[in-house]
Amino acid sequence: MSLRRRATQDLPAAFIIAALLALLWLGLAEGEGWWFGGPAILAVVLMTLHLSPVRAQPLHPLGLLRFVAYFISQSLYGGLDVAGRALHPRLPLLIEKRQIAVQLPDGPARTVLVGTISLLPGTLAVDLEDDLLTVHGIAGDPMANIRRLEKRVADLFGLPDAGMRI
Amino acid sequence: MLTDWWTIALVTVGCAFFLAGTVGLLRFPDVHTRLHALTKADNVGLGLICLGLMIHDGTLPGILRLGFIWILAIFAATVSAFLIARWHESAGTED
Amino acid sequence: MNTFLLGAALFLLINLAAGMVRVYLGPTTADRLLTLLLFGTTTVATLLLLAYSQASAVLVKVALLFVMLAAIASVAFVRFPHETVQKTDDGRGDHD
Repeated sequence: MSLRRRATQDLPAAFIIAALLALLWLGLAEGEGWWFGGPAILAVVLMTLHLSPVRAQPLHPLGLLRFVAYFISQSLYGGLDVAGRALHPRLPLLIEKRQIAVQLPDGPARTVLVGTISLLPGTLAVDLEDDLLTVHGIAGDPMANIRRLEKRVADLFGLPDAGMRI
Repeated sequence: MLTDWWTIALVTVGCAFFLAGTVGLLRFPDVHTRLHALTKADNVGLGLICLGLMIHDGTLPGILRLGFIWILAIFAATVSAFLIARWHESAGTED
Repeated sequence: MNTFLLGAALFLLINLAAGMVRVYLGPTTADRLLTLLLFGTTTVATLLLLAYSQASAVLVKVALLFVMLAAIASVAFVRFPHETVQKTDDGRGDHD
């Protein structure tokens, strides 16, 4: 990759990481000690760029709003569901393990997918190898839940609906 | 004060979720089902406690800090859950 | 209010202690590892409740640091090869 292309792809990501770290420092040190915080942030950003080719993926603002609302309501429901099952005297668990072909493209979208699966009702991400996602389910229809989540994640990144890819 | 009651209610319900998570950890039959209980129930519990404390705090920096802690905790839990689940899967241990 | 928050923190600690039974029961290493997850979330919640019951802002920062370290323990643990850990687990290891 040419230096110029690298710079145009890495710079936005670098700024985002730096801004988040600065916010964290602000929260931790209450605006003091930038003489230490500043260089530390710079070092972390450089190290991150050196270790992995991060790229800023533009988010779809409305999609983000929809995703956050969906995530909060579903994780609340997921917590209630599993709490009900744990406290139920007969312990009703519909255990199944499945492999599902992920339709989202490689990159941040998949990371978000795998990261959120375990907090949504009845599903737990077990493994992701190439395109094959292993999901453990205890309730409902894991397959349908994953497909629905994939649509939301596609919406979050403003990607076209992934359903068409075979 | 009314806000105090909100805090008390949210923290109490949050604690109940933690209790349910532990009950699941002890009662569920294997590693994967136990992971379901811990990740989901405990993070809802922590979220409710953070929300209750946000109401109690009432200042913008305080609220932001609590929100930040919750988001980071979710991140830590979901990454840990995935790693433990995969690690257990590849071990091929049957319980 | 402070007493209530302190009570809630105490409840979470007892809850954590109950969860520790899983470490004793096992039966696999992953089961024991799960308690790490419980530890992370519970400690953060307890520290936050303590911080507000004692009006001590420093504890909130401790919680923030703790939550950032929580994931690292799991990451570090799963780097272990299975044999190393599993051996002590089911007693198949070579104990002399």
